[in-house]
Amino acid sequence: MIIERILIFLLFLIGFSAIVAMRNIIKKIFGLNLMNAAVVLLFILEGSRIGSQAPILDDGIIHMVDPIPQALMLTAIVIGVCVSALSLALAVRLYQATGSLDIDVITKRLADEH
Amino acid sequence: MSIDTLFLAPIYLPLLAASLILAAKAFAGETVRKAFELLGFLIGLVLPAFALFALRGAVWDHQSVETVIGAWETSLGIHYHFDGLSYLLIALHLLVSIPVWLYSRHAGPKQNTFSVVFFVQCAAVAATSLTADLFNLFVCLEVMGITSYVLVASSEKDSSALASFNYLIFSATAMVFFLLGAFGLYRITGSLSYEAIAEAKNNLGGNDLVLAQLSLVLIVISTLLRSAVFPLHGWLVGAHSKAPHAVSALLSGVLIKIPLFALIRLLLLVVGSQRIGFTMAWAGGISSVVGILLALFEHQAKRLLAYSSISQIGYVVCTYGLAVKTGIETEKGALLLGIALLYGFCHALSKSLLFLTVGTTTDVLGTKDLNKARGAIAALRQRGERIPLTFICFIIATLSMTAMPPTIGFMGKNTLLYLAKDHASVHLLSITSALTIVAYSKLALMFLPSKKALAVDESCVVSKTMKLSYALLALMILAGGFFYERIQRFLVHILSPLSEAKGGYIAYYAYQDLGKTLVTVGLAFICIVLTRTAWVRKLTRPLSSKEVGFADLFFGYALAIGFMAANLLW
Repeated sequence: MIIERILIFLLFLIGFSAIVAMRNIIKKIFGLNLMNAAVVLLFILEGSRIGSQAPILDDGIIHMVDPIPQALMLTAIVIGVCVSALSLALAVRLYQATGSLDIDVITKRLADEH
Repeated sequence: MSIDTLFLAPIYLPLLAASLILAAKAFAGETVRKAFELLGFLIGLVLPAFALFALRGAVWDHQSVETVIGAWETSLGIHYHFDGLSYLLIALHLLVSIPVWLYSRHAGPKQNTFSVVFFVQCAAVAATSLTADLFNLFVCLEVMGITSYVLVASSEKDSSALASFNYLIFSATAMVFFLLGAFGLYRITGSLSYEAIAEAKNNLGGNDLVLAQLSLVLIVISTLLRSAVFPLHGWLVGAHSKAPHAVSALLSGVLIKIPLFALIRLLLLVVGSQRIGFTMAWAGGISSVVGILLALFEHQAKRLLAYSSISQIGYVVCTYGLAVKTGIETEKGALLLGIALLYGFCHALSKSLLFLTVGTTTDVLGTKDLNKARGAIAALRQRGERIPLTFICFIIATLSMTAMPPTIGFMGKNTLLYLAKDHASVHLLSITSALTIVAYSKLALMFLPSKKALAVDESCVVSKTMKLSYALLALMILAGGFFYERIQRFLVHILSPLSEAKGGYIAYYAYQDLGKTLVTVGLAFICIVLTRTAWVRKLTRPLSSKEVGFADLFFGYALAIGFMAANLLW
């Protein structure tokens, strides 16, 4: 359990550092996805503390995982997809407008337009 | 129809409107599309307004509904709670969104998708106001956020896409931290409904309590980010100033307040909320001063308005924080919360009218630079405005914003300052009042006669729907000033079941403090003279705004979390 948590934490940190430090906007979007994935995994890991089988009510299933985190994360993943799609669409528009994916260059080139 | 079904109308009806418009866009021609947009307006905004009108008796009698959507078990389903607070938040949104939608008909954005996203956002706002479940709050905030990003980017200018992108990345990252907070609370308390969390949290101790408090801090800060309180304000200026005028009006007027007040249901229940309230009161006070100082040295009209929003939300957050600190269950706390929300109404009406009028004016003049824009009245006359309605409405909104009689802003701000007078942070608000006048006097310069020949933008026309939207908002500001006593009584009364207080009523009449207003105007006049001197200009040059980067945004975020956590744990 501890190793999984450390790995998840690392994934989260990689995502966060990409958002803050990377200048390429596509990498920033990837960073956001990584962070999201880390939290999703954390919830799923938490749900599996009390069991290991899929939460389907059927014969022979006794030790099932907590179904609530799974249901929640399904929603969170859907929202994550929407946010990624929208941010990528914005990235395309920014690239078309400025010819660059570097956030500093984009900011500079668009600064004159008011 | 009974209250049980009627209260969900503000969620369902805008969604129905959005799907109708989307269907028409996919399958029908231009005329049918326009007809469906109008139909969408009637279904998505006018019908919910009637539903609220029908519910007024129920909320006055303190009836409330708690329900789980889809009749699921309490532990599994989505909780909604309808009461006075959600009623007022939905009303606040409708009051502004109806004029704003009318304005957008002529002034744009003109894509069909605008109306679709607009109505989805209406539903999300209503759902945020009604939710009593942590995960559902997350979903509603995300839907509100996603629609905001789309609306900001719906401007034709590419810089709006950059503003939207910055806002998206910052806010979406904060929402991941929100999820982490929700995870912490779920792990410890085993539930996500507010009441179950509060119940479990009151019996915690040791490490579990520390973890629960930290989770709460993540949730509170990530939600406050949407309200752009100092030091979480960096994203607002770009997003609100680059968006189309109608969107700026809606975002700055309403959308920054909804998450703040939706949070009260959680804060009401958990331990340690007094300390959170204390931190928020100071954050609000500082926010008001920082916002207005940045506004003072801004030369772009819409950016000035956006900075002023940060400053004004400071008043709301400060009073709100004091209410939480005092305890909402006490009579004073309930009153403070009522006044915080009422000031939210004052700001929403005035700021949205300002964004609409100033937006139109800068479009007609072809420049947003306050050093160059002059002669707006003549320019607007050339574009078909025989009576200078834009100017008159601008003046009404400015009077309200700077707390001058006879507007709702005058009554609201003075009552707020009177009620909060015992707390030290209120001095910051008083300073801001004077500086607000200075900042808005800069905007008024646009309407001075121009010595040079006007370069009027021929493509801009002040249409009838635009005039109607101004007139509606201006009338509400004036009527709010005249009927302020009644409005305040209604508002405090229906909010009182949130607490056990009786909804006590303050015997305060803003006109008895007219002398104070005169002093504020005098101070403002001195400040105006001072800002024109060379040494003050030199001294304040570092304050002139620059674009904020991601590092600045996240530094503010970390600062807010660190400060709030330190305050809560030690």
